Amino acid sequence: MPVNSTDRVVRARVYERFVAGSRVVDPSSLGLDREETEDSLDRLAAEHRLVLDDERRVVMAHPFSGVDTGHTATIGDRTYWANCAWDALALLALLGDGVARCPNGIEWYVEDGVVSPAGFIHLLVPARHFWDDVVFT
Amino acid sequence: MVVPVQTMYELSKDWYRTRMDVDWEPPTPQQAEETLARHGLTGDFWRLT
Repeated sequence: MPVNSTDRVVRARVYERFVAGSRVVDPSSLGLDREETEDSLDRLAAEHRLVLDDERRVVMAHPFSGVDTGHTATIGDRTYWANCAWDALALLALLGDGVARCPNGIEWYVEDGVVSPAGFIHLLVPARHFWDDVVFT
Repeated sequence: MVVPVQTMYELSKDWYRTRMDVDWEPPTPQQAEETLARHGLTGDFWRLT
């Protein structure tokens, strides 16, 4: 099911909402025709461009998360929810220097593109299976 | 698979570089593998094709 130009606008609006600090992004928050937006979100989810819950709230628009996983990225006075440790770092890579935090208490600081302290991220799922169960991944 | 955080950060810059663009298209498996390989992530764990 290919995406169309409306789907692209809807997807871009989803990202705009997350960047602006929204944590709940649903069809009513995107400022477009409700029915058209819901259809677009369904197509985008079917194409793995984002992940929805049963009420079409955006659960994942990588690297943003619409649920509190315990992984966060803080830039200035704004804290974003991330899907995992990788995505917390990715939010800093996308939006600017700050702090990535994991639910186990680990913190990584990024300043001028340098991550400290040095450490490692443990990935459990091979790349070709990332989308088999993307919430687990 | 264990990957240094600096590598994951650099990969993220590359991987998500165009993600918020209106006309973003998901990479093909080949393109995604090339992105991973640019950061030294090769081998069976990272294979997509």
